[in-house]
Amino acid sequence: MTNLLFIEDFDSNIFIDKNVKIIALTPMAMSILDMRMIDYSIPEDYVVWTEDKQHEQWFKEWMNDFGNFVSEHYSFDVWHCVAMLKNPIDVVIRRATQWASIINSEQPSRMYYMVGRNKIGKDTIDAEFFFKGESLYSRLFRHYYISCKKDWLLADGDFDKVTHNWKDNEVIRSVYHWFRCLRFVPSWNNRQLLLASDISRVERYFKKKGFVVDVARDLKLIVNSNILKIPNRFFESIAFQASIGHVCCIALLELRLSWFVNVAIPSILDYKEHYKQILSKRKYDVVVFTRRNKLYQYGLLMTANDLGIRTVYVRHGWDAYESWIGYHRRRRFFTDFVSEVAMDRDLYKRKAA
Amino acid sequence: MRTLVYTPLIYNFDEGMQPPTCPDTWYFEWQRTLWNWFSNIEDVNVIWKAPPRRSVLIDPIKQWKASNIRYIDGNLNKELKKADIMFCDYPSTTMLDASKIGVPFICIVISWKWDLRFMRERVLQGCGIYLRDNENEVLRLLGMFIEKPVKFTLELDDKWLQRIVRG
Repeated sequence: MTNLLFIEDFDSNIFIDKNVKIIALTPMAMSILDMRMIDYSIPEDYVVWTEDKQHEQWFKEWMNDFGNFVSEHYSFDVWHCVAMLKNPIDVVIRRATQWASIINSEQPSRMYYMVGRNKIGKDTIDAEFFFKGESLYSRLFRHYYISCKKDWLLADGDFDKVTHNWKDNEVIRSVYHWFRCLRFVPSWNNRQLLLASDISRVERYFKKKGFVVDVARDLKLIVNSNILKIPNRFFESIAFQASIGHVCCIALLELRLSWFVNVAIPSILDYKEHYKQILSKRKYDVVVFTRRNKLYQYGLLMTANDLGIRTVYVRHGWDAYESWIGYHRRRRFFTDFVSEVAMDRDLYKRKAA
Repeated sequence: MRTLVYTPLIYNFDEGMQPPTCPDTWYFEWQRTLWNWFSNIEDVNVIWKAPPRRSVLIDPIKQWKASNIRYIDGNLNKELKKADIMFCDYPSTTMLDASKIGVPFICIVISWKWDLRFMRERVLQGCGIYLRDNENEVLRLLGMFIEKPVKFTLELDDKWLQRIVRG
């Protein structure tokens, strides 16, 4: 029987018994353990989760069922937001699979978890739908049922400290290649453009070239949200995929899925309605998207499609991967796709400019 | 003295993996090897150009020191304009940046650490992306590239790839 110690944040003031088996969960923990020449394992020593055909099929069925549930309450196509749902669900399945593999392999008699004390219990969401705060490993430690004794080792230190975060920054650093793409925005000469991205450099570029362009910005609406409870069957299905109990799955995911149905969807629909009023007053020929990762952009895209206004997605960078969700994220909801890379235009050839 | 820009991956931690990437702890094992290898090569300065977002996890490499390696998380294009070659270990938009600026680049992926199911076959056909089975094979190929860089271009307009051998 083993004593296991999971380390997410390392605190050198906490005594580590030589007889425990250590699992390092972060690069920082690994680096400190390396410096101290302490042996450890990592989750990938036990199992590596990758998406397979079976998972893909299961997720599509889950999405269809979830879409039916959503449509009972809203007029809304959840496939617009496939990435917003898939990311948090995939990561729960990945972490839970690793966790179960470690526990089953080690059969611990006692477990410890070392983490910054300020992280416990936090669950926040950033502007681009990524959940932060207490990690999933930490939550699994808390909620995963196992008949061995569990103890927290709460580390002191500024473990949340970061340099900076481009996701919190409205300006993406490398946009010059977008400008090449923008030349291909269809029929843009003497046309009214609405840019669905408040990136000032792109806006300046358009205006400097003499084009008539407005910028659709986040409107900071007050959302009329409902309080809908997610039926248990959705958690049970995910729990089965992740090989965890559905009570544990609810603890990991309920807040996140609840945010989606009670905040994200009503917000998008409010934006949709608001942009409908704007686009009805002023006629735009094209709505240009350089990204679609904010709620207002979803609402604007839906409105433009409803009103028959051409919608253009300008790809920055290129696509080395061709995941099945790319169809929903890029091809399905936009009229045109613009890329400067020849092979991307092949990929999106039906709609490529 | 030549300058190599290395552009590593963003740590994902509890975020989903779209597009598929390498788990952070696994990736860190490789980066530790790479750092040691870089710090022992002669006549090459390395710019370790970390992604500008490390908010999910703190990057320990930021604190590491080596006489020929400089860790930055600023503007990539500024560094590329001064660089002789660029290396990345996953198919990245940084290749497009290097291609546009005209800096020879290579991408070498450790195939068994990555989920390659979604990788487009076409990106492996002359774009400067190579798959290798283990870390030693990656380093061997990278060493050859540093010795004799080959210039690939991600085609920007209607023509297909141009392959120019330098030197």
